[in-house]
Amino acid sequence: MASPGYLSGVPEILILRLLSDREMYGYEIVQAIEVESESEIVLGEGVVYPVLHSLEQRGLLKARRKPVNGRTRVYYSVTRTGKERLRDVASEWTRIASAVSRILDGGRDGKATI
Amino acid sequence: MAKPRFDELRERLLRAGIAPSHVERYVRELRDHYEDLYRAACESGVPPSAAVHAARTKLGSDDALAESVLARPELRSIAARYPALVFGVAPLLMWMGLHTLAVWALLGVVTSNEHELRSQIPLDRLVRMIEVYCLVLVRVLPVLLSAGVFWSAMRRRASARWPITGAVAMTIAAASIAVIADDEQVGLVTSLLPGLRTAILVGYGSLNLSALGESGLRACLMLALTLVPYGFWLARRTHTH
Repeated sequence: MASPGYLSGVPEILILRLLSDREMYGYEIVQAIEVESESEIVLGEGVVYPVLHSLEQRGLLKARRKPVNGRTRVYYSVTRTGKERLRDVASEWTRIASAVSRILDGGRDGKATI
Repeated sequence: MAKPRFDELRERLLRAGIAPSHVERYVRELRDHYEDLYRAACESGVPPSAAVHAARTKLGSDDALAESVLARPELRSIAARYPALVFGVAPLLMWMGLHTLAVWALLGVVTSNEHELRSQIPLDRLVRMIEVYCLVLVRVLPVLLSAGVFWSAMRRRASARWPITGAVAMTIAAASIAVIADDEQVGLVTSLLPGLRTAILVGYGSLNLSALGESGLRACLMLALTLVPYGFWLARRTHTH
């Protein structure tokens, strides 16, 4: 799936959610999003890193270098602030998504009302 | 397998003011990511020559990679956002602060250990030591700070205007200070070592043409030590790009 403008904040939510389970490095994150979304959401392979760096700069993620199989990788994990932020944005996303769905489904009385 | 170097991408991001730490990490992560993609392609049966192309394509074009970073202004360095402050004003303030702290530290050490110093170190040697200490503060420290400013500017591919302004301002201020060690003069340090005939007078050059000329010459020599290598680097960069 391409990345339409209205999905601009989605990578951040997905990354925060995935990293709230366990720490991952960039390649793992991209693969995990593709697998978990059953290829409905495919992030640009190289563009995930600016998102990660930005989240880290905002204190939502922390990064650490970890040697794995002779290579040093940068692993990212969610901070406490990141978990709080995830709760907020996930709840907001659910609320907006259900509101959009209601409208797309024709509104409560069967008519779309905008 | 040779990993792509991303030199052009690095240059483009640095010139756009992205913090060098972000740029270096981004490039390193891209290279690792490329290696993962290449290995995954090879494991799925793609021939190595085709895997190289597939990995590079999947990673994204240089334009797409650059735009994804440039779309995030928070990744720009403070130096890129406030060059006049970081390169123009901060070096002078930093030198003044370090200079003041160092003089206070010297005064503190001398006053609190006066008897020990006088009993353990011959007076002429003590005076020379303090003289060297002061010379380091007003001659060596500004050169080192200028070198740091220019190195930082080079690393960030910053415009030369503010780094040169900052280094010139700091060097002129430092070069205007004269450190005079005189056997007969009584100056600042003497008040801390009462009874001493020999002392160091640390003062500011008087406003006469001769003193100004000396200060100017000192400033030029000090600046040349860092400005010349920086100028060579600028010339080479202009020639290269």
